[in-house]
Amino acid sequence: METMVLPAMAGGLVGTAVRALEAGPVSDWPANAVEQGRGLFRCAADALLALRDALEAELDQGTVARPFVARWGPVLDGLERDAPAVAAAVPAAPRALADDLRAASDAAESLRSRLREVLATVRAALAKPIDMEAVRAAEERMKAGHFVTHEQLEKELLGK
Amino acid sequence: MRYALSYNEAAARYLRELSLTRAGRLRLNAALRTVEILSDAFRLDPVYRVGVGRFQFDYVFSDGGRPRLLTLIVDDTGAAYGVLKVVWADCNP
Repeated sequence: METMVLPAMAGGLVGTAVRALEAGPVSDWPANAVEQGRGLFRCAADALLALRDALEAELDQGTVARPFVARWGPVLDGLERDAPAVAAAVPAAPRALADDLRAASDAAESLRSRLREVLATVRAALAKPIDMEAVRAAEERMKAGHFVTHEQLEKELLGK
Repeated sequence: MRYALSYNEAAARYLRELSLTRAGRLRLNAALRTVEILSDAFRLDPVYRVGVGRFQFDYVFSDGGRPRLLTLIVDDTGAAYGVLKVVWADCNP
């Protein structure tokens, strides 16, 4: 559930922030919009940091790769679309808004950069061709009785 | 159902000799344990089938912050008898 809710939450908040930034230069925002913007950017930053934590937790635990790509690919697509607009608004932001806007921008950039690294690695590995001749040869050797049980392998893996 | 998992000797040697941290080895073992309890729906999903009697299992995990992708080709011709055989293994990068 967390993996469905968090991206929706973060994507919605960042999308709203971007729409607000596109509505008019942040330097011209009225005082009450600045106040609302601070809350919005703070929430967006928190949601993005929570999403980054969820990503690391998933990687730490390990997970089946294709569903992982299907879940996180759209998150990266959203960040590629929205993060530049947030980053571009930081230099012109009034002092009252700058810290929260920068926090949202940094959180978006941190998640975007990590997702780029992880998804590029996973997609490249998934696209790597498999040597089916070697697979067939390995099957023949196993049929001839050359194999190791999981218990033997586990002992060696965890004994090291 | 929990399958009995066995490995081609070369695949086992490859997995044993992977350069991983202690935590990485635990995650690798968790990935292999995941294969033991895969559902029929996963195993028989055409997305994961590679030729007759085999499926491909890809598992992502991090080791020291570095993303790694484990790929296994598993012979499931003995699945009805509770047996799966890992015939090929690769871990990238």
